[in-house]
Amino acid sequence: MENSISSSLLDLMTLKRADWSILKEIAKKIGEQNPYSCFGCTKCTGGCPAAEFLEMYPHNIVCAVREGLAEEIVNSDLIWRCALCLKCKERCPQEVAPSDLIIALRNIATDLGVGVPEDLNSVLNSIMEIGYIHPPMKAFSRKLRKTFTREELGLKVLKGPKDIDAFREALMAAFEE
Amino acid sequence: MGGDGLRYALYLGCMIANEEYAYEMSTREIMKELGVELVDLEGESCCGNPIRSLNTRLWLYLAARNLSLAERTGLDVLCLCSGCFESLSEAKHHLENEELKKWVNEALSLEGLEYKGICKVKHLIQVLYDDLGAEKLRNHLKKELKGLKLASHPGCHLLRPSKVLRADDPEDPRKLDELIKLCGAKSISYPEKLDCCGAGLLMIKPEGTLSFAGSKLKALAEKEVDGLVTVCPACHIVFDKRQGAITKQMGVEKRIPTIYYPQLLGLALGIDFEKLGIHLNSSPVDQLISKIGDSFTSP
Repeated sequence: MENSISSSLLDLMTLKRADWSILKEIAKKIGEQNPYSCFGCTKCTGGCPAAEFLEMYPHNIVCAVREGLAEEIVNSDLIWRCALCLKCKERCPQEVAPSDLIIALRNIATDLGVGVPEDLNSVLNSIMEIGYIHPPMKAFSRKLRKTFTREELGLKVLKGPKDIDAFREALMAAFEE
Repeated sequence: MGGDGLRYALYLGCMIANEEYAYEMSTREIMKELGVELVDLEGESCCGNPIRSLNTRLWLYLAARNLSLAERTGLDVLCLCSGCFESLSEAKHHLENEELKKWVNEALSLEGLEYKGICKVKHLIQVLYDDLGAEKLRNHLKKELKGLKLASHPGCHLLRPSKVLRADDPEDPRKLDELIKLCGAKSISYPEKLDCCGAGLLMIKPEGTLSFAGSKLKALAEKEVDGLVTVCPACHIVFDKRQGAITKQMGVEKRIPTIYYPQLLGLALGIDFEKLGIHLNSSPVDQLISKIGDSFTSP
């Protein structure tokens, strides 16, 4: 694999050496990503609703990662354009799971602190704080021009994790593996 | 007529617990009517799905903790949100790996929890279509929603990955359509049915959501449908709450009433509008309601 033709051609064109260490990191992320099985049928790209916004198609991303060029992809905006509709994972005849690969690459971008959307970080903060992605919002009725809380709608008030400190501690333990 | 003693642990998840109250209201109402008991999950949290992109271990931990809370009830989990359904189902699939299970249980012990892997994860559609079944549902119907021409939006995470979820045919889903037909309405077949709402991009590339949802709404506007039926709060937020902004941007004039399936079924079961949270829908659902010969008055 490390002597594959496409890899050396790309190296020559970009003077960039393939980085195999990221592939090991990708394998460690929980998911079914397996870029090695791809035989380039482009079914993933065919069904991808985000393909028109990508400078590089899903099958190209899989190929580039396999050839040791994951670093470029991690540092690009590409990985943040996927809506995770999972069509590629469903339809791949080789079980490459391109969407899981995207998630793994996003994880690595997060590990390196590059390009992570701000909203995702605030979601994580809110989960640490209250267990949910955001606090309860008032529901607005366009019809009645009025807002309602859960209680006003007859729904129970939710409390989230019982012991928030233990919850945070457990999350930290999960983060540190 | 009872639901044959059917009981489930109800998992709400972030969007329903904190924002999309109509989905919870209407589900509780129809389940009461159908004789299905829902047990609340005390201490539930986010399923982890939104932060899976940041760290897969944090995702798996959050999913496992909610599953272990459900296990305590001894019941199967009922998810209303397709995102949570996919997240919890996939987590369960990964936790079949003994090493991961051991790892997650070490972290869970800090919260006094344990994951065993004993409960099933089900989506509302499965509970209604598979567990209760059309025949039983039919016995409860009080009103035929005749003359309504609706489009179903099953949504991505109800269907894929099918080898793990097994909720419906991933390329030709029919359960939601059958459930719509059961209410006496028509469910149209349309090429954009499987198209994604784009909610997965809301927090990272909102302009992507606009384009995904916009093209689906544009296609539907040309099809003369009376409404769009959803079974996921993320899809619903996009098609209902954000419809005005999206169609404005896309230059589409026609508005499509967007309704949760349990709201629709609730109408057929003769449940009051306000109990179904119909007044909380942002899209013009009154159009849909006047079509079935009712008028929506303020509660």
